[in-house]
Amino acid sequence: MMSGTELLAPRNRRELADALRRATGRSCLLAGGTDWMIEWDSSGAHPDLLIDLSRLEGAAEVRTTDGMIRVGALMTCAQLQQHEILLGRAACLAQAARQVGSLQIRNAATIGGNVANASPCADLVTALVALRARATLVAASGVTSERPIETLLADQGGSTLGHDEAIVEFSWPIGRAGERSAFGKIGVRTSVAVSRLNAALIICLDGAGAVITEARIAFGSIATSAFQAEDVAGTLRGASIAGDCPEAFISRCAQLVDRSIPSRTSRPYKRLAIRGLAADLWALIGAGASASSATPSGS
Amino acid sequence: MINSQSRHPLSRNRQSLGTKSLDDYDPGIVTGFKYVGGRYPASDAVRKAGGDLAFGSDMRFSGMVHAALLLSPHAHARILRIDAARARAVPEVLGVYSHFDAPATPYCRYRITPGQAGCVDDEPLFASTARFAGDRVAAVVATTRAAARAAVRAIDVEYEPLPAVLSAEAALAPSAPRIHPSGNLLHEYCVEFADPGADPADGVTIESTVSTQMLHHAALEPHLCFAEYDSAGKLTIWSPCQSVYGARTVVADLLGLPYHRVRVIKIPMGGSFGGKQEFILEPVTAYLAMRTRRPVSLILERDECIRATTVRPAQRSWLRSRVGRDGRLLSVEVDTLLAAGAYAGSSPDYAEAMAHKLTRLYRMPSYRHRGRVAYTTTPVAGGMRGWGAPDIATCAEVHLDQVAARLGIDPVALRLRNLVEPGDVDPVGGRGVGDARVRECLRRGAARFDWARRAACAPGHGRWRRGVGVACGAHKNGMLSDSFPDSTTMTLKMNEDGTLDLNAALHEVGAGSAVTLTTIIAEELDVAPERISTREADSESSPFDFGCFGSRMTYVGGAGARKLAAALKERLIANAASLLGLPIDLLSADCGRVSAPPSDGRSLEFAAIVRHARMRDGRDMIVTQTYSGKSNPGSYSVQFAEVEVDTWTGLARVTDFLSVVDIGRAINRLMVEGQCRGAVQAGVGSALCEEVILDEAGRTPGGGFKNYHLINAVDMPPVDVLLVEHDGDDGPFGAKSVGEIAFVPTAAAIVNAVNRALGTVLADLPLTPERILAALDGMAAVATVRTTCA
Amino acid sequence: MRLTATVNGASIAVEVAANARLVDVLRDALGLTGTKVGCAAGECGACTVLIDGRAVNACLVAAAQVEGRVVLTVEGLARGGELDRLQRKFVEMGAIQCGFCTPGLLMSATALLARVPHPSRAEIATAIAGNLCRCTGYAAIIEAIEAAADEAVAR
Repeated sequence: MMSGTELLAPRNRRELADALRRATGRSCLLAGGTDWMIEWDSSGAHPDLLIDLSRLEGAAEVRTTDGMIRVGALMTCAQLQQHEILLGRAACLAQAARQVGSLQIRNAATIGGNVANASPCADLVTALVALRARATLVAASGVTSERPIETLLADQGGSTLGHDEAIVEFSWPIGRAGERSAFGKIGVRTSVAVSRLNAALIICLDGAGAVITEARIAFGSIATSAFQAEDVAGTLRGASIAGDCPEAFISRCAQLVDRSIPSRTSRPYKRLAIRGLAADLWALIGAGASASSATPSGS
Repeated sequence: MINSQSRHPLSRNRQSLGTKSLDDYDPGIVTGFKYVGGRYPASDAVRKAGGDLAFGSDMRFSGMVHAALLLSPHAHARILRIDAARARAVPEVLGVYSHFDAPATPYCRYRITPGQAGCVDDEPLFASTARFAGDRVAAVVATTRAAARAAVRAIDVEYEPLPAVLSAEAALAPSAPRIHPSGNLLHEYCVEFADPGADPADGVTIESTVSTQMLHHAALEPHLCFAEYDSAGKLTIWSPCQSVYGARTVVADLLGLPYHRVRVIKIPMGGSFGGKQEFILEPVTAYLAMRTRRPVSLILERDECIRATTVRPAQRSWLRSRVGRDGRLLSVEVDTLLAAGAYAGSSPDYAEAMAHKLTRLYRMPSYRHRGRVAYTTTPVAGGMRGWGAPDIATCAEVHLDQVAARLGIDPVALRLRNLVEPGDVDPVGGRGVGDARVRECLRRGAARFDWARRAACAPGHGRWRRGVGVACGAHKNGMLSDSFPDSTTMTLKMNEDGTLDLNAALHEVGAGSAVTLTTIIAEELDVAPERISTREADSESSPFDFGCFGSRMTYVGGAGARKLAAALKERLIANAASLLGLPIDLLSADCGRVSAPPSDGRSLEFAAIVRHARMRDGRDMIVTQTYSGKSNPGSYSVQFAEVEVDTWTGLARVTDFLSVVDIGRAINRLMVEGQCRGAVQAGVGSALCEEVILDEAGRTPGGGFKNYHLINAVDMPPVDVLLVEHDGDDGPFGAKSVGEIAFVPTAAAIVNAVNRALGTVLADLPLTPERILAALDGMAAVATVRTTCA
Repeated sequence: MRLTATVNGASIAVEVAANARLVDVLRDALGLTGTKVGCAAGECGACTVLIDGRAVNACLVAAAQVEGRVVLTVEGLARGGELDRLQRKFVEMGAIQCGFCTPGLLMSATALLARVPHPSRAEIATAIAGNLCRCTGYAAIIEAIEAAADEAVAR
């Protein structure tokens, strides 16, 4: 059984567009490969064309330009988790990256792949949704376009990307002074666990650094894809960052689970456990959202 | 940490006590042993570190072809039609096989010897009715593995679905569909004992129901087997198995071959934990080799290992104890219901083993254990590390903590009031428990763990609660019973340079049993262990042995090795006596020489004695000995756990652990400690997160280890190990078993710690975050109602 | 397609399918069977190898993606037939029982010590969290990695 798979490894956006023009519904875009390799191994499927994105120049860097943070789609989780710009300006993304899988997975898995695969529990997607990121796509036509991250996430799960489109970059405006963010997740193990719940929180503090003036929060694993929860975020506005985790925030999180997955068997657990996630986020963000996750107080 | 010096890996390395977890004494000083009690890596560790030890999946045979299995997607379905046309059209495919062309003769995957009691022949090579989601429906043999797997996907099967039966309770319901013609009740037993003179003191009665779940053994090496049938009609099987003679029995009987025409070779094994004890792949691989006349390789995927090999059975036990106000057990009743899965395998024996543990652990005037084993349309259950002992220990120890809570007695004190003493006789088995030091394990462990102080600490009121738990466990040493005479045969040969070759049917599972035997021989003969070679079992050339299971390797195999070395020493002395012209009783053997008394001054190197025997006397220096087990004392372990539970997310973490084992005598401290620490990894998993889950149709979720959660390095607690050594029994230099007993009370200690931290009575394992939160939520609801009423 | 790369210090050129897994190319085409397959899904870490010094699961890497890169497997650790210090510590300190996880763990540990010469226990645990071991309970493995780091300092 020879697989007649052809391989193209474009080095720039022009070559990428050329490659995409030859793509069919049976073609695959390969970034880190961590999802595709499992799929091929278990299904025995053979793509007709493999477009290896890993040689794409400039796609594995983080830049700030024109008030925007730009993250190349080929950045691996391991690179994201320790990138200084992200640790300072988008901690939720760095923290999400740090909690993806094992080190071996983080060394291979890319942010572009995480979005393109669009699993309901994808950690980076939740952070990107909270950040209101936009994805830069290159199409077979050679046209480069930008789309809000949510529009890439299909209602039925998976992504809305066409077979002849590729994500090359994510971008979002640099937050204002006083902005903090944090990411939290709950899995079955402390590390190397798929999220059963995850969330990314972004807040803005007043000039004194005491009161939350703005808040955004996104949740993953309680719908087919990550989404922003405006009403939950609303409970945090006006809260004192030095105070206890607002009760309304916690209870609104539980209500969100009831609303999102009313008939799922996981609901009774998730509506209770999300309180812990909310409290973790609060503790993280109160601590200035440093790169360390919440640890049990009793230890 | 004390840094170990760089030495030959097999050299004595007693100074490098790598951890603080050992009792701080040097056995060499205390006992005068030269080799016993040292720290020795497994004999093949160097090659494993170098990556050059060939495991099965690394073996390549000339002309090798690859098999893949089509497994039933249905838990229960009649197979009406198999259309393999598309599969046969794959150019690399050599053949497609199913029940339509394979023999229908049923066999028992658990059989070791012909005529073995307790074996039920109910499993076919290929199912005509699939009895679980994972049952073998067909097999493809192709020249490449990818083609074999692709061809399996191209087989079209028409199934007539039948109702699934997913629990033992459901299987025994009057209206349950029959899984086998004989009915769903596979086995029933009752073990009873009552002391007529027992004090009918008044007491309290406490009932509990505790359940343990299906577990995947999770050896890192997936199941595999190789077989070749040559033109002279001889079948050779290469398998990482635990009994070459058992594999031979099952395959030869099934395929109608004489035993001397079936050769089974044990190859390196990437872990078993009982998962490779039974003969799951050997029969089908052998059959495919006979059909294709090519060397066949069959290697399973991880998902196939989870659903289609063997699992630890799910069981539920109801317990009722009558206990005196002082905490003394007056009577214990147990009723166990166990799901065997689709085929009997070892489940009847496994279930019955559960009835033979508690009376070795606690004194009780009255005991009754009733058990029923039911067929279910779920993965086939089989032996796993501890073989029923962890299951019943979990039930009994969780129950005892409920007893302790009811009576207001400390859990350690309650157990001390009831544990056996050395020399007690188990009223159920009628055998002595031997030098049972479980009370000492508990006392010393409690002191070391600082139990009294830690148990008195409040769990806290915040989000995170802490608790400590204790549990005891009993197991055995070998398989000696009234119906089974445990024995082993070995051959030891000395070479002309004084080195030795041990020929025993060794099945190294990763626990270092080969180096255990060489250490024992080294001690007895006073020869350096690295001068003794071992090889693994080969049914064609190894003396007979039942296999590596039943906690018999050290206690029975080790004792056999010592007897063997003693016999060789006797032979060396006898030959030396004739060479030196001195009476035997004047000679002594040590440091590789046989020496005359100091007044005489002469001595002969072992090597010289061998050379004389072979070159001058026409004799040889080789001995074969059969050792028969004399006793089967209890092995004991007491374990202490500390947990921290996040009451908001339900996640529990084990934060500290102490494993105390009554080991008699540690032969190889490094591996003993490794067994104890490794057991905790599996124990934490079985207490908190490991479970083979089935959906309502009886299917596993797939996804391999993504959906079967093993504890990784981050979630392991520090594990302290305390060995209690008294060498009071018949094992070599007093040694008893460790690998299984070390796993017996682990889960129970953790569950008890969680219950103590939360004030819950959780008793269905594993204690998942869902179960923990549901229990807390239930308690909160009760509390709310009370507050409202007040 | 033709794949060229450096594997264990030697240049290799082999014909591979474009979507072949690196682990299959290593084991079958190059005969480097020290790298094990325990799950084929990136969950167990038995197939861990280093690409340009970074630990990855070879079962999840397309061989095509290592074109021109530097791959290190367990066979590349020993020098002149002598085990390296991590391998020696694994052997001496009981970090090896059945040994099926050992090659992957050695590679994760090699990558860690190259990046962090004196890791804490927590750093070691995190670095090997993607390597499952059913035999040892990890303690001896962590101790062996610590001892190898200590020995490197002593030199």
